[in-house]
Amino acid sequence: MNKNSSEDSGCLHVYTTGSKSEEQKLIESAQNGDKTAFGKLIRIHQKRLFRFVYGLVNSFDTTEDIVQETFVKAFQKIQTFKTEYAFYPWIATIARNSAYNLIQREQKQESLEKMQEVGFDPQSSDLGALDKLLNDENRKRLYKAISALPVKYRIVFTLRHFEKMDYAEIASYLKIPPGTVDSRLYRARQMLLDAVKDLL
Amino acid sequence: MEHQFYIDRLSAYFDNELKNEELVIVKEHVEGCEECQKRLHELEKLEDLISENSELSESDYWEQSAQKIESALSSQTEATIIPVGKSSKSSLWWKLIGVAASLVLVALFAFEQKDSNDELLRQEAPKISIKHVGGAKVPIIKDTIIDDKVSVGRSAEQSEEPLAVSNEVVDNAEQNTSEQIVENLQTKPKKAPVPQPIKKSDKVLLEKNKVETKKTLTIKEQQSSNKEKRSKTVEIFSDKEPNLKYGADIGKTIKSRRAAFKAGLEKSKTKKKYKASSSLSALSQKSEKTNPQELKVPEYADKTEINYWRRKVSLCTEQLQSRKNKKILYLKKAATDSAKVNKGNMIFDKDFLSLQLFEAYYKIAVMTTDTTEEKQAVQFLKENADSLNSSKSAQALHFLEKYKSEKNRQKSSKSKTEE
Repeated sequence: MNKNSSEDSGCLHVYTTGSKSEEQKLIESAQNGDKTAFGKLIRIHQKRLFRFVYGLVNSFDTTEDIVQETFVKAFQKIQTFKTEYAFYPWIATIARNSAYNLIQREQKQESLEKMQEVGFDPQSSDLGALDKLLNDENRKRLYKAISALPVKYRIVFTLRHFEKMDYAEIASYLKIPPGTVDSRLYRARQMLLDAVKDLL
Repeated sequence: MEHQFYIDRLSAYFDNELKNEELVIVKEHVEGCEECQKRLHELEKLEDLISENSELSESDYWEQSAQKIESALSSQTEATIIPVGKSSKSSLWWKLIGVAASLVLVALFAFEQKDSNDELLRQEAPKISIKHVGGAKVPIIKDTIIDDKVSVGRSAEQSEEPLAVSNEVVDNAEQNTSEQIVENLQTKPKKAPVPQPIKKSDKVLLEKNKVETKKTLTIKEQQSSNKEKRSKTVEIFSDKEPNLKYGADIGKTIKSRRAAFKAGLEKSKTKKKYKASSSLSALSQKSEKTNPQELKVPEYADKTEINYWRRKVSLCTEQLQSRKNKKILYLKKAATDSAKVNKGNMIFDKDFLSLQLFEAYYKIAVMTTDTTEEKQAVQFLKENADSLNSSKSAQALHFLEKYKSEKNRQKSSKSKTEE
């Protein structure tokens, strides 16, 4: 199994082959204090991590901060990382913990009713700074629609589509029943279908 | 089954998340239902759209972002890792900064003693301390100077009680370090608005002129915001001589109780709490026997005075919390010898305040007509009496015993009047 296998899912993956992958070598170098090697790891994973965090927090600036903080934390704790595991799920866990804490704080501030009122309105959603990272019109439309999803649907959607987590994993992570994952994902998909129907 | 049932499960069916019978039922239905097939087809298209367009575009942004993170990493490691060659020089600077910071904190702490709210607490200090110094017979002239120097703006009377208790609490090592700090302070006294150190002879004079000092205190109190209430309480305290003795007694017994407590700990670690409380209760009984006169409840118990004690409880609690915060700050800021001294001073102040707090709770428990309040006050004393902190538990136990004996006395006097 090569490093690409780690991108299939948000859960931890174990390298089973005897030979070390390129990523494993980079991690070992980083564990010996090689910042250049860690820089390469940043360049490999930052885009995917950014998309994942953006899907959760829906704010460009916050995403930037969380991604930066995640890599800094990862470098500080790199000694504790076991190289037989894939690197991305590990940093994704650090990032999503930060992001999820942030979301929980925001959810407490905003009532559920208010979120429902804001609800689904792709036209009002502004991509802002993210716009420069989307060079295609369809891409912009899709991201606008995703951004406009109510937070509880958007998180489930992100975990499923960007992180390829199954229902049980999402349920376990969000501490909700698998049935709720199913219904939220169903609602998210319906909303997206309505928003981007002309693109299908 | 209704059609909506299948529609609701299409999403899970599409993701292969249905199991067993549900999967079979939905599969059978979808094969024969055009609408469901159409919906499934839409889901497939949406999935394709997402997978085609979910990737973020290549851009200079990513390289810039990576560089930003790398620079953040560099600044982090530079801050934490000190090159070997520079370590001794820089650590010396850090030590110096630490010492300077701790001196500033000590000065700030001393200024805070001037706080108007603090005055109410401080008024009682001399009564306990003067007797205590004499009772304990500890020659602490140097430490007296320390405290007078540190506690800027405080009167001689106000500074004496803390000293007495501090000598009980701070161990020898800490006293040595405190002397070093004093020397440092004495070399730089001109910079801060520190009053002249009070000599031992001055203390005697002050004790002689105690009544006059009390009067000046009363005048000061009258100038403050709650002048009427405060001046009254100051007068009340200045009249209560017996309180001086119990303070001295507490001071004396704390040391012996602590020794007994430590001995108890060494004997058996498994029965720590029990041993501590038993040894302390024995000592408390001894204390009761030695000076029963001092344990009398003041006769001025009326509504105004209970409010005074209530206020005192809140003040003591505030002050204890404030000292707790400062202690944390000290421990964080300085890991040098000076930190130990500051910590020691903090401990003494805490002991002093907890003594005041327990007394206030005891007074409330005795004076109040509200049973809930009484229960709360007694509960507070009980909890602290059971605490593993030897000095705290000794103090609490003392007032708890006092409370019990007072209650017994009240009961017996009541039964006599009924007869």
